[in-house]
Amino acid sequence: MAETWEYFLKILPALHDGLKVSLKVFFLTIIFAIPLGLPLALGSISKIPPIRWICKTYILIFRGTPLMLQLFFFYFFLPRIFRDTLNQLSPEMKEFVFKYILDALPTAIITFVLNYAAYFAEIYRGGIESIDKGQHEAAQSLGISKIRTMFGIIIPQTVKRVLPSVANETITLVKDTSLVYVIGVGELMKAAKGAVNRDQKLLAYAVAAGIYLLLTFLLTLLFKHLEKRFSKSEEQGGRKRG
Amino acid sequence: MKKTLALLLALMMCLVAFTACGGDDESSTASTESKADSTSTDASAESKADIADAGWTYIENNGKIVVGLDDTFAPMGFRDEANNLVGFDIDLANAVGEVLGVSVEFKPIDWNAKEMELSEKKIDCIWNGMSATPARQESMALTNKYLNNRIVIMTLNGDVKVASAADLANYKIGTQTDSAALEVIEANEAYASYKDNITTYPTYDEAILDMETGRIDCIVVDEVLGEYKNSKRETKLVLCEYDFGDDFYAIGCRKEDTDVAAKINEAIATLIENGKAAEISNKWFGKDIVINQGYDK
Repeated sequence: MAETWEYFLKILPALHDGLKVSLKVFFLTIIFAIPLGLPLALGSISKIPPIRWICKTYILIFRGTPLMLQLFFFYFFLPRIFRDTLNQLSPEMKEFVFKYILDALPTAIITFVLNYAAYFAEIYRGGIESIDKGQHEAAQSLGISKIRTMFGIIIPQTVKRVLPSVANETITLVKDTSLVYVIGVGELMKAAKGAVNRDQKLLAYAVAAGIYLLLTFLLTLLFKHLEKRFSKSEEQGGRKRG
Repeated sequence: MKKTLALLLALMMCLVAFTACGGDDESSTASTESKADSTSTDASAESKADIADAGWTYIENNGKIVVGLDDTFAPMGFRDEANNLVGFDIDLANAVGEVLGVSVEFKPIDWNAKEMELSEKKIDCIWNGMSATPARQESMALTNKYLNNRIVIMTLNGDVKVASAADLANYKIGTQTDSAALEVIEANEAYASYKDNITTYPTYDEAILDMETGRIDCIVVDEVLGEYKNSKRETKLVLCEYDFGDDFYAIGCRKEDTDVAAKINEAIATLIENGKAAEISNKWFGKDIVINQGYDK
């Protein structure tokens, strides 16, 4: 037992380093993908055909191809396509682009944001379309502009409805972060794999599982409270109106 | 509301705690500092760009050679408990860099993406206990063989007796996907008799795990790897009588970069001469198995 504990402490720093990368990917993806989903959702139900087509095609492509292939595409093939453009940049600019955009970790985060935004867009679209059409008509007859109807009346009501799906997607993301190893980014899962390979002991996998579980547990609690809060505000609003 | 905030804070604190105590951002890839000097004369040197973009000139201009490796591959290249990159290949590559006067940068890659990493110039060579298979001699510019290894059969079950390749027909065999071991298994004349018994795994770790659960009887593996696993295991793997013969490791450069491969060959020859290679080999394998040997064409 003492030996296991000792070994646990020994592998912890490496797993901790991996976890940092996993969390970085997770938080940055959530921070950017959740807002980015909204314009995509609105675009995909837009009355203007070209906007609608572009958004729908975007969603189709990002939901329709494996995330792993998207990582490959952005990491290996995009720099090749834009090689000439890159060569025209000033040296400082080029260094900046290589360090903050084309390096493995930024590429992974950008790809995750683009991918998850597509999923969030579909969740939002479902939420927006679930609101009764009569509300649009009612707002129109009161002379409220379309934009104000959407942002002031429709979207606030969808928040509660989309929360469970957003929670689901967020929890999936926690575990999807382990995919970034395919472009050489060392995250939690890879750190665990490395320890197992080095020491021929399986404890590192169990520890990694525990960490993922803990993160998911915290997120579950967070979303549970968010749901409670939003359903409460709706009830209060209802009472006031009644 | 308070609870929501508290939970959000808890999550954020996870992030902060983990990023704060780790200190600096250790992205192990491309710092392009040295590139800045070489590209400042870009306008006048456009015609030279193609030449400067390939081969040894490219590496010299960068001042470094980027070595791609799967850093979960003990004892060739892996992370120690302090997360430092260590291993036989790491020591040898650093020694070669010293001889050639360039710095060596190690970039962790996923083994399955190694060809793309190489062709897209994310790395300059693959140096990671890679066997010099005929297929790789076609697709890359390989250096000379630098390590003498054997492909052996190992088991956990004392009742498994393999005295010849034909005996394998009686057992379930595991090995690694896309490995040199798999290639020699398939090239063997008795292959037809046991080909339905083979299972391939992403790495040897999964194969050994499956052997422990009893789904397979033996694994076909590189000897240096098997020996390393044994040094860490409580229940030892047992060598079978039969083996699949010699297997050689080589370093893979881009197909057109034959001059880079030649430079590395020279450096390894120097290291063998001055005894440094033997020293590194003894440190990791307890014996000197470094060679510098070309191919029979």
